[in-house]
Amino acid sequence: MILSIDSLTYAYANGTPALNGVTFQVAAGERVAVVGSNGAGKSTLARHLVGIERPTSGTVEVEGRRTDELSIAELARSVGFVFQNPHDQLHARTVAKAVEFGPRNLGFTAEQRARACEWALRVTGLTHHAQDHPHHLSFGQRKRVALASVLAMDTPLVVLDEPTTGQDHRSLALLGSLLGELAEEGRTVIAVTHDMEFCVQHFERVIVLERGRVRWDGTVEQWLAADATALPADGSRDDAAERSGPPTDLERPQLTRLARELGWSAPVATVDAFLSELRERTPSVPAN
Amino acid sequence: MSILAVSDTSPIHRLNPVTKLVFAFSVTVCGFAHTSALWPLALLLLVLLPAIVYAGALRRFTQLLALFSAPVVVALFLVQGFFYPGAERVIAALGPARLSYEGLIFAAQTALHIMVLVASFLFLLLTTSPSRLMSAMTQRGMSPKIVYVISAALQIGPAFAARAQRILQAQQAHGLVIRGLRGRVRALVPLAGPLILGAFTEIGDRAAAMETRAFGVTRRPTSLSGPLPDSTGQRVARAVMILCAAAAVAVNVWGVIR
Repeated sequence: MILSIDSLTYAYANGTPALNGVTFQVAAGERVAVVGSNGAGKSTLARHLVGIERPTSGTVEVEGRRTDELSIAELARSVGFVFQNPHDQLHARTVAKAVEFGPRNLGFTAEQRARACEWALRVTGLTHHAQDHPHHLSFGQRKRVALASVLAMDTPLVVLDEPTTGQDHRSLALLGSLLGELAEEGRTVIAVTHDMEFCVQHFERVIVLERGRVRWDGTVEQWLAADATALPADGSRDDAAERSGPPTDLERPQLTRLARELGWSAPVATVDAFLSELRERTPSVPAN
Repeated sequence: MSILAVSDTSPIHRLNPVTKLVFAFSVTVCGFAHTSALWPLALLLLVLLPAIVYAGALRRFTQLLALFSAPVVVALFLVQGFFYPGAERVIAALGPARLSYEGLIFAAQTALHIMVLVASFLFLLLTTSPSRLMSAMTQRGMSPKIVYVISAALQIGPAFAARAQRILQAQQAHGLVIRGLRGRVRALVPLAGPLILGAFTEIGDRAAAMETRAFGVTRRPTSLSGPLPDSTGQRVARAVMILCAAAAVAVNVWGVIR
């Protein structure tokens, strides 16, 4: 397991609980989306993975090493963390220098740096912006610069905090194909996101956080098929979460909801899957 | 470590913000009424400390007082202790520098006066939310622009510190090791850029946002919060504190004239 979280509990300095007994593991090469309402604890969980937050109790282990025993800089060899806000991450005068910052800190040779930066700029669609000042770019482009600066560090685990914010349709497609490329390389990706369309298209596992607890942990297909008020996939009942109020009502993708309204039982999330199901049910619908 | 009050956790927190502003101002003025070191020390121990203990903010108060006062106090003792003009009683000599009794006394007096000033305003900050202070001052007819300047000044330090913390975390997450003097110096360059540029961007955005919400109109704005709690006791207390401050100024002027 590349990531192992055991009974993670965290409270802010003023005593407000943010995470409560979070436990799950992630195998190398998995693509996991952590979803949940605002204030569910998603970003706080993500910040634990890179050591910015330290557990109040419980443990977080990355590649078998406890994050509370390592500095953020030491963890940076294992975890690439893309912050939600790109403004705080970009300090260099050019995009290329911003992307090179991490590899330089990690001691890459000049040749390794050049190769890593060239690849990171290419896969994020920023090659022609390499000599631009990051502050002259749009918000979406800056987010991609921040992503490139982490990808260039070549970490086995990449954590993305709200990666789709501010991204247009083309950038989203680019991000989706990038996730596929990372999966082919065997790198693990964990994304904290509100974007359910993006989540079902590009991730294989969904973890639903609710009020600091894991409410659901299963495959995307299971999640799509489950009722919005369903309990965890393994059937275990989180009584405390159940008692604490109504369950998370995360919006399923539009096509999934349409299929449900039509009374289809099969989970559908993409246009192709929808058309395929439609053709099966209605032979008069022409094929492409 | 936040410097601003976040909730109404004690009766001191719930006092009218103007009462606390007058308190901070009056204690500061009183602190400078007399040159003796005992006078500011008494104000610190007998007035400010009990108030802050009652507010339940002693720990943060102590930490912040040490943080803000320590550099000034150290500098004062070094400069005045060794280079006080006209010193006669030399305690120790380190090469050409001579540590004098008069210099140390003067340093202690000045340091205590400065600590009263810092402690008074820390008391205000730790027990008063800036938004309540803004509301209270606006309700008393102060110009919204002046109120905004005061509020922004109160909040700029914590906001800057929070942003610096976020930037440093981002740099560390990119493998930057911030350890030892060399590491800290190395971290300054990537810290300064986003910190300053971000501040400029934020100021521009905030000014535009305020103007588009009619901040510059000449009519007096409606206060969104209701009237803040006040009482006859607080009004009397404010009057007494202002009288004390005036008396302190009189004592000081009298001392100078005499």
